[in-house]
Amino acid sequence: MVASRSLIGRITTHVLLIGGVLVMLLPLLWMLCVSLLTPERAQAATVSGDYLRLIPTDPQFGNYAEALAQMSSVRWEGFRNALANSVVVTTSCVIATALSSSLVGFAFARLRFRGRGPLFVLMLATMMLPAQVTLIPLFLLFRSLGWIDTLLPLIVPAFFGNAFFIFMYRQFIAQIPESLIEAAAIDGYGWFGIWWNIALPLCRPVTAICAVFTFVFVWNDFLGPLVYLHSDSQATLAIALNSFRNQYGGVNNVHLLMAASLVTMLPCILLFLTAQKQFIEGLGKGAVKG
Amino acid sequence: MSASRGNGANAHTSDGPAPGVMASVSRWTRRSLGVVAAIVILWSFAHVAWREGNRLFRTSGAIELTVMHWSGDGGPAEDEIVDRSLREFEAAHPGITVKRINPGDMGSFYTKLQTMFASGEPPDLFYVGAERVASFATMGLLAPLDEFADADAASEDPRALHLDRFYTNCVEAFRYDGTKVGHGPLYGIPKDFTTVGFYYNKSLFDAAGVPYPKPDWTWDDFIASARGLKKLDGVVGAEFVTWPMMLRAYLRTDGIEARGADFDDVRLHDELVFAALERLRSWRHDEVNTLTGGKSKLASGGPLFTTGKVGMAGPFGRWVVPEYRKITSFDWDFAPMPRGAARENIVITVSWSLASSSPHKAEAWKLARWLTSADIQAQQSRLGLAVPTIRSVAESDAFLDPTSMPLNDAAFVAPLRDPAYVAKVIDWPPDSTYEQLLGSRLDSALLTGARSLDEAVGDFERAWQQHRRSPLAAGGFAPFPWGTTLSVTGAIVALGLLVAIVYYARGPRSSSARREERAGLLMVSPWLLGFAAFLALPILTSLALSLSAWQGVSTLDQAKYVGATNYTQLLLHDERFWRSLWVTVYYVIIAVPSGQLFALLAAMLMNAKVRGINFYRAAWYLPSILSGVGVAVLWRWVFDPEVGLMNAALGPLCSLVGLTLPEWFGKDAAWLGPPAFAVMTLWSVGGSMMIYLAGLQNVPQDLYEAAEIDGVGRVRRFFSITLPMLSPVILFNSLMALIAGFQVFTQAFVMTSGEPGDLTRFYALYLYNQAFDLYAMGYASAMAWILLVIVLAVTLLLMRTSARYVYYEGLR
Repeated sequence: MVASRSLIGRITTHVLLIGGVLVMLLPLLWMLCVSLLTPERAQAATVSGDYLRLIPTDPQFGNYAEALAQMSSVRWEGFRNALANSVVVTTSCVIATALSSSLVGFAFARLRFRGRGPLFVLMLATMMLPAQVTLIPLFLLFRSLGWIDTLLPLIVPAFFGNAFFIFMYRQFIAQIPESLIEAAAIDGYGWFGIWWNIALPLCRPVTAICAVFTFVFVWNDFLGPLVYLHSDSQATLAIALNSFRNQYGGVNNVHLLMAASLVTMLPCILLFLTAQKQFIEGLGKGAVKG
Repeated sequence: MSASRGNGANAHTSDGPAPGVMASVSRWTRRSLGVVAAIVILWSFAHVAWREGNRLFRTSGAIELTVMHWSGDGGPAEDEIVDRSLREFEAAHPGITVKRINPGDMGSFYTKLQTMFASGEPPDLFYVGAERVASFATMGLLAPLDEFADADAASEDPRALHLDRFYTNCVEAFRYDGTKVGHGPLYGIPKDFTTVGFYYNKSLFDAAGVPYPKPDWTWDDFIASARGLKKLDGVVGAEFVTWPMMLRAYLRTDGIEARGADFDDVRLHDELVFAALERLRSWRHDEVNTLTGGKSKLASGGPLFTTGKVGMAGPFGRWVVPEYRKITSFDWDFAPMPRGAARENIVITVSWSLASSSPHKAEAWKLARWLTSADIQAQQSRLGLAVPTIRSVAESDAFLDPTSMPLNDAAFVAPLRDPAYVAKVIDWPPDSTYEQLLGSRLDSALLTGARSLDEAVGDFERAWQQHRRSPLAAGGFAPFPWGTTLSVTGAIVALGLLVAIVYYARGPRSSSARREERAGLLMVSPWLLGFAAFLALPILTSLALSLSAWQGVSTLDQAKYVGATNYTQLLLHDERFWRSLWVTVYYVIIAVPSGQLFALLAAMLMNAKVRGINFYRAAWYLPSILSGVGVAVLWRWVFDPEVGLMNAALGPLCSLVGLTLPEWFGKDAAWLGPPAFAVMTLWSVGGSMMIYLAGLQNVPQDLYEAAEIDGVGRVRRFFSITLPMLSPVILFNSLMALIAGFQVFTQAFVMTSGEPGDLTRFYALYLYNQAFDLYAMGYASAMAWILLVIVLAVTLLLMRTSARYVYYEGLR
C-alpha cells in the first residue's frame, strides 16, 4: 500500500478517517446528550443549543427506563410485546430474504432459460414502484386472507425475494468465474447443489450486507406495521415508539424520544459492530479463491 | 486512491496485526453478544407463539366493540384515562368487551382510520375533529345519532345523555345537513373543546414593566406589549402561529372572513381582510423581534414558549397546558384572544362518533355516552388538556381548579358564557384541499416572507380555482365497472398462462438445456409468485384506481370511472404536481452524483490498511442505520438558520464573501431546500459505501500486482483497473440511488411537511398527501403511475448507455 508506506500518506488517511468519524458521530452524540437531560434542559437544548456537553452534568439515566416503560398504558408490557414482535418479524425476514433472494439471483445470473432477460427487466422495474401505490390494494389482499392484525403480512412477503437483493446477488454471482461452476457441475452437483454449495458460501459478503440491510429496514419499518397491525399487543418497536411521540415535531418529550430512539437503534448498531467482521472476512475470501 | 490495493485476497491478514489479548476480548464479546441474541430470539418466538396460541383458542360470546382514539398532547396520561374508563365500562356492562386502538398522534390516527374504513371494518367508535365532520358525513361514514339522543333525553336512566347539558356551540359543531355545519343530523358527541388565546410569560412582563393583558385587550394592546417585551435582552415579543385555523380566528376578531357566501368566493383581496393580514405580515417582517422570525421549523409552535424566551405565544387552545404545567423556571398565565372590531372567538372540538357501518350501534352509543359522562370529563379535565363540554363540569372546580395552572381558566369558557361574545365553530369545506392550500400559500408571505402578501394571495386564488374547475370536482361519473374489469383481467391472465405453458412446453432442445431451463424457472418461481401476488395484483388494482375517482375512506364499490381525467388534470392543470416533480428532479440531480462520488471516495478510504479500520468503518456506516423522528429533529436543528450547526459552520465563510446566512427551509427554500435534503443524504452514505467496499475487495489483487510491476502509476491503476472492475457496482448503486431519490418521502414528511409553500413538497409526499390527507386515491394512483413511467424511462436510459462502460467478468 503506497500511501500507507509514506508517513504523510498515513497521516492524511488518519486525519480524514478521524475527521469523518467526528462528522458522522456528532449527531449521535447529540442524541445521547439530549437523552440524558432533564425535560426542560432538553427543550432548551433543541431550541437554542444550551446544555449540550460531551459529559453532561447531572445525567438522567432514568430517562431510558422511563421511555421504555411508557411505551404502553401498562408499564413495561408494551415494551416486552414490542420487542418480541420486532425480533420475530426481523429474524424471519432476514433468513427468508437471504435464502429466496440468493436463489433467484443465482438463476438470473447463471442459468439460461427463455424469458430471463424480460423477467429481469421486469424485476428491476418493480423496484421503482413507490410503496404507497400498493398500500391499499395490499391491505385489501391481506384482509381477504384474514391476516390483518397478525404479524403475517410483515413476514410472508419476505419468502418471495426482494428485488433489491436479487439484483445484488445477481451482480455478485455474475462475477464468479465460470470455471468454478463448471468444476462443480463435473463433480456431480445439480443446479440447486451449485447454488447451495458453491454460490451461497461465496456470497457471504452479499449475504452479510443483505442481512444487515434487511434487519435495519425491517426493524425500522413504520408504515407497514402501522397499516396492518391494530392491537397494542401486536405492535412492533417502531410503532410502540410512536405511542408516546406526541407530534412530528417531537419537541415536547425530546429527551424520552431520544432515549427510546437510541435503545431502538442499539440492536442495529450492535449487529453491525459484530457482523462487520463477517463482511470483511467474506469480502477478503472473494470469488477468486478457487 | 491510497486504498486501491486493498486488503484483497489475504483474508487472514485483513484484520491487521491484532494483539492476542485484544482478539480474544473481542471474540469473547462477540460470543456473549451472540448468546444474548440467541436467547432474545428464542424468548421472542416463544412469547409470540404463546400469545398467538392463546388468542387463537380463546373464544367468547361477548359483543366486541372496537374503539380508536389518539393521545395527542395529553400523552400517556390521556391513554391511561381512556383505558381505565373502558375497563370500568366493561365491568359495568357484562357481555360487552372493548378493544382499544391508539395509533399515536392525530396524523397516524386519521391514516389508520382511513385504511380501516377502506377495508370495510372501521372501529365502532372513534374521535372525529369538528373540522372533518362535513367531509366524513358527506362520504356517509358517520352514523346519525339523533334517535339515540332523543330516546335518552326522555329517559330516566341516570346514565342517559342529555344534550341540553352540553354547550350548544359544541353540539352544533357536529350537526351537518349536507351544506352547512350547525344544522341537520347529529354526528358525534363532543368530548371536549377549547377556545383560543395567548399564553403569556408573567415573569417577562414583570421584568419589562409591561402590564398583564386585560380581559378585553385589543390588538393594539397586544402589539404594544410585544414591543415592550422585546426590549429585554434575548427576548422576542410573541410567537404568532399562522395555521389556517388560527388565521381565520384572527380575522374573526375583526368580524371578517376569508370567504364570501361559499368557499369558492375567495375574499382575501377584500380591503379589510387584506389589511388585517398585511398588518400581521408587517409585525413579523418589518419589525425586528416583535414576533418570532418564522425562520425555522424547529423553534415554532407551542414548545417555543417553554424556553422562556418569548413573551407571548398563541393563538393556542387548551392543549398546550399539560406541557406548560411542567414549566418551573417562570410564571405564566392565559389571556383571551385580543379583540378587534368584533368580540369573537372560535370553538375547536372533538367528538366520539359512531361508524355508520357498525353492527353494534346501540352498544357503541352506550359506550359513547359513558366516555362523555360528567365523571370522565371531570377526570380528563384535571389533566389540563381540554375544556369539558358539559356546562356543569366546565363551570365546576374540576376545570376551574384554582390550585392548578393556568389561573385564568375562566377565560376559556367565557366566550361561551358571556353574551357579549360570539364563539363559533369554524367550518371547512368537505374538500380539505382548501385548508392545505390556504395554509401553505399564505405562509410564504406571513411566515417565511419569501413572497409578498399580494403574490401569496394570488397564488392561493389561482391554485384553489384550478382545483375547483377540475372536471373531477364536478363529479357526475358512472360507477367503476369492477365486474367487467375483473373478467377481462381474468381472461387475459388465463390466456397469458396458456401461452406461457405452450411456449415452454415446445422447443426441441438438448436435455441439459431443458434441465437448465426447468431449474431456472423453478428457482425464479419464488420471486414470480411473490411478484404476482404482492406486486402485479396490487399494481393492476392501482392502475384501475388511477382511472377512477375513489375516496379512500369509502369501500371500493363506491369508486367512479373517470377515464383519463386524473391524468389530464395532473399534467395540464395541477401546478402543484409540476412543482413537486421539479423539487424531486432538482434533488435527484444534486443528490445522486454527489452521493455516489462521496460513497466511492469513502469506500476507498475505508479500504485502507490501517489500525482500527474496523472502528472507522463502523462509525462511518452508523448514521445510515439511524432513522425516524429522532434524526429528523436533529436535522432541523442542524439547518436552523439561527442556532444550527450548518450556519455556524458557514458563518465565517458567508461574512467573508458578504452574503447573509441562508434560511434553508425559510425564504431560500426554493433553491436551497432540496440541496439541504441532499446534504442529509450524504450523511447516510454508509450503505452505498459498504457496497463499494465489497466491490473494491472483490477486485483481483493480481491485476494490481501485474500493473505495479509494469510501472503503472496509482492514478492510472485507478482508472484502468479499479473503475472498470467496479463498474457493475457503480451502475447498481447509481440505479438504487436514482430510484430512492425519486421516492424521497420520510425526511420531507417529518422535517418540513413540504413547506414553505410547497417548495420542499417532494413527489412522493404530494402523492401521499393526495392519498391520505385528501383521500383522493384515484388521483394518487395516477400520480404513482406517472412516477413509474418517469423512473422506468430514466433507468432504461441509464442501462442502455451503460452497456458501453460496464464490464462483467462472468455474466453469460
